[in-house]
Amino acid sequence: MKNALIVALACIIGAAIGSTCKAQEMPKLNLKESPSPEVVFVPFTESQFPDFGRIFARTRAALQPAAFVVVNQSDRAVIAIAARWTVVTQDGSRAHYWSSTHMYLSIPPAPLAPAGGRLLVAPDTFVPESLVVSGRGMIGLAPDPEIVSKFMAASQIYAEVDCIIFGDGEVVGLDQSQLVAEIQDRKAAVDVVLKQVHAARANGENLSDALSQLATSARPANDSVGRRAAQFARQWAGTQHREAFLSYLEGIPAPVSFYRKDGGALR
Amino acid sequence: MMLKVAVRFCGVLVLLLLPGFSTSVRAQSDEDAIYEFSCVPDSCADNYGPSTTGDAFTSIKATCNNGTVLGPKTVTLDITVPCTHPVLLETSAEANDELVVIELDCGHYLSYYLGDISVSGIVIDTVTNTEIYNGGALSDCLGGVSPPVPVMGPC
Repeated sequence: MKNALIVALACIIGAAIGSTCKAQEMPKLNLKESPSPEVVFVPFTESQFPDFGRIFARTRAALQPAAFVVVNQSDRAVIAIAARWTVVTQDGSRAHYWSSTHMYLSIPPAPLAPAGGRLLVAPDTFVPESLVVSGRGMIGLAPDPEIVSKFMAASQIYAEVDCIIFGDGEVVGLDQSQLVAEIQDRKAAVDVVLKQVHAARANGENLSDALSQLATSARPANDSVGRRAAQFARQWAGTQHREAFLSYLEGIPAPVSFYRKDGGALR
Repeated sequence: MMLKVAVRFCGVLVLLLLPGFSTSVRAQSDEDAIYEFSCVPDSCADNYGPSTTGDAFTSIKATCNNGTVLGPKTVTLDITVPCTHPVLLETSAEANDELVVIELDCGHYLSYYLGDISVSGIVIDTVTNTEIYNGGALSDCLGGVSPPVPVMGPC
């Protein structure tokens, strides 16, 4: 924002003294083709997608050149997606950024893009079309300032979608981001925590004792489920709204059964 | 109104040791543990609300014993369009060292401390007293990746 103001100020002064002042050009988004013929990607422009325009009004302004809209032309909902951006700066250096999301993170769980629906995708940013047209308030995590600054310095941006998961469980794309594993392991971790909670309550034990044990127990390397369960336990200990947090965990449903059309491996 | 909640830093050095570990193994493996960290705000927690607008912010960074710099990892809850209900924005961050165990072969184990920092944000609807949003990020001394970001939600 500060840089944009400086550039704008320089342009005004330049115009005033009769010199030419070329505005900083936004890098063009090089968007790789969709891994699914039923889902189309369109680089974001405000003229084409005015409803999504307000998303870039504040902290996300610098991410607009990296944004694209996922158009779901299938008769199934899109419930998860992972994307990767490659940012090339003026000096030729490259950096990669991953962002992914899935419906089981929402409260209550809802498809990202229903059949025929659209989803705005940008680094650290996912916005369902249904939300922006609903007229309701909107809340989310702001993108990491460090990532925003990298995109501000970009001369070229490349984007590709690594994985799409449909509502019936079909997985499309390489899934290098391990989105299937992420969804499954997260739910397994939730179940570990809830099992402890239910057991403690049934036995009249102190919940804090049960969950602090879970939060600090030794775990085998690569124990993704154990680490997530420990993190949930620590979140429970840290929040002032413990019952609301447990209700949130209770409300996370079991994911659909995943599959690939060609029968390939999922994880 | 900005309310700072109680100190909530959690620097947990786990002292659970399985039998049979040698001191030298532990000393070598400590390099993946958190060496030092810092938070903004100092409490590693921020609490904004109840409100229908505004944002809440917490940031943490850390250095691992192996020299890796983690972060800064930042969580900012941002209300893009004013909420219809008053909500409470709660953000927090923590640094942890946890004991990780690798089975080398039958009956032989290697243990080491793995450090990580995490940030999390939740939103509570103050009318129904229910959680309506939950998200965060994690980074560890072995270069672990961040978890998915939830889609923007209604409030």
